[in-house]
Amino acid sequence: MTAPGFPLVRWGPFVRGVVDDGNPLLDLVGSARYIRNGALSGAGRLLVRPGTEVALTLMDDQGTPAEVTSVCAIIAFGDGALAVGHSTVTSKFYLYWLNDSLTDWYNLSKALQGTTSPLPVGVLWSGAGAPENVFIAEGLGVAYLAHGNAATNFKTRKFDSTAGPPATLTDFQADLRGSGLEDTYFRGVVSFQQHLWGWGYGSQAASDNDRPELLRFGQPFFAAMKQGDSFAVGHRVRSYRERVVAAIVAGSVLYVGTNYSLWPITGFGRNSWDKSRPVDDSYGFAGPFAGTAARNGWLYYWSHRGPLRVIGLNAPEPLFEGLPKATGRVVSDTKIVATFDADRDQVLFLYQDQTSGRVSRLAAFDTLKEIWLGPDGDIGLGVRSAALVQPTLAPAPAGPPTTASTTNIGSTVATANWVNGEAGPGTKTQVEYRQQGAGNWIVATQSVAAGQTSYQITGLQPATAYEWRARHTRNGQGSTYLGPVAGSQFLTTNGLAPPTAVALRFKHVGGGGPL
Amino acid sequence: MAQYDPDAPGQWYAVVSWHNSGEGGVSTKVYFGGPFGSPPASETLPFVGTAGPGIASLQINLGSDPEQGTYYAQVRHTKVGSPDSDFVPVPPTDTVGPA
Repeated sequence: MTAPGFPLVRWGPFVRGVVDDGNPLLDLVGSARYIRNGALSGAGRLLVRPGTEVALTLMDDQGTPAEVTSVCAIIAFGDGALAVGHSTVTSKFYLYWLNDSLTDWYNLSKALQGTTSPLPVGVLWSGAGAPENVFIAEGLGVAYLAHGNAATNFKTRKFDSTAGPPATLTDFQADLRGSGLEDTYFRGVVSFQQHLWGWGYGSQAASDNDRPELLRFGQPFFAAMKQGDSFAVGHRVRSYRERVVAAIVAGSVLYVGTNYSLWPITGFGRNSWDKSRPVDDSYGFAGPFAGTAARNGWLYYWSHRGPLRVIGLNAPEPLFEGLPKATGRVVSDTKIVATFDADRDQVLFLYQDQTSGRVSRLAAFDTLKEIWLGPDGDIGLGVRSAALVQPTLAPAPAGPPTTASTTNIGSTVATANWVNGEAGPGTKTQVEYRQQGAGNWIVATQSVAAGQTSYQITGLQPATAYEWRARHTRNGQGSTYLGPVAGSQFLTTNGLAPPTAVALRFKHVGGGGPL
Repeated sequence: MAQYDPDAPGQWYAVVSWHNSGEGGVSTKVYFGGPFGSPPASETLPFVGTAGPGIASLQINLGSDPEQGTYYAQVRHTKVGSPDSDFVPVPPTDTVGPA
């Protein structure tokens, strides 16, 4: 349902992990970014939006590293994130290990590097001239990565952050045809009930390489798969029309989608998994990233007809009638990217707009208010993948700022100084001030960066007594305040005294001079 | 009144001087213009430059053939974070121009 005039609904403050599609019409490519501070009106416009912000620029592995030309995937991983970049210059796919705030990156030795230009922790695939969708599944600190068009060229890879240091990047092997462990060539992977699932597989045998409808799962857990551990979706079996497009976990269900059908797998482990019938034989996943799990077990996804949602084994509920404007302007359904913003309860659909043809537009479904927000104008970049990357441990600041002092006191400004009680990544300092004795604190800033120890308060009145207080914030949690104490109380000056004894005279230099 | 021979080459300068208030970090904005028949309002004199902290004069090049008449100057202190001080006008005690 649309709701013109719906009150301003902000989303954000961040949906981290939107990554660049490498659209040649855009100025910047190869960057992992985050969208933040957007505001959807519900009537069709995104009203307040600084847009996207370049968080990290992914570099290749050349002697003099250059920016990659596309970022193909991003996913929350452990207490950080993983991203995959591709370069048309080197024809390689690269794996990057990022921190959870997308402000730093790890090397293979697990050390944060303190820059915003990550180097890869490894090369995933070489001899790859074009970017491609990449699927990443995580299990207990181990990531499995599949090339979306693996064929017999691009092996499924395994990144183990629990090994070492250094962490390891190896080929993922399984016994898919009863011939012992071999390299694998899955087209997609997902983690479900402590098992790794892969689809479109195959084994090293050329005749066994393409099973578009078949899923394999690891047994036990994320260990090597065996030949008999499989599910097939579709009614015809071995039909390209029933190729698995994506598999998404929502609630207790693994939804396996083809372009035109949706198959739920439920149960309580491999001995009870069931895939007896589809919940939909008409609508499936438009593209590999067109669906996302949302709150309370709902799966929201975009089909060739537009958005739908489903829960459990129920029949999917069409949502596309509420968004005709959006569905009529999508250039390519297969490139739609969906993600769930758990900070704002909204499912975001990003898609290439037919009008501009170069940037992604945004529509969102508010899962609490049951209302469509948008669609809206462009967000400034093409989007290939998106993920909400949230801290898993969410540490609060270790302690408040200490040792307040106030310097450079003028008639309208003063500088607050402190000693940091927490300076770890992601820490910010919030400074507030007020006239001494006044009731309400005025927030001067909420975003003094980690490590900084001063902030100039402006806009003060001359000859007035003020006081300030400060606290650290991190992961949405705040420390106790420093102040008000003697060192944070000050009196602004009474304006500047003017010059005195002012005089004007004339002089003549050179020539005949005065008469 | 200072008078000069218009045929003689050379440069005329106006020199504005003052005493600084003594407050640290204070610069001085100088405004100068003319000739005017009567004293202009404070805000109407053209701004010609800022003298840094500790500087107590500013020299303004009038060229070799300035127009005769009465010139005016005003100064005020300025400092980042504080409003500028009040204007201090120079008493129009000197003029320049052809004989």
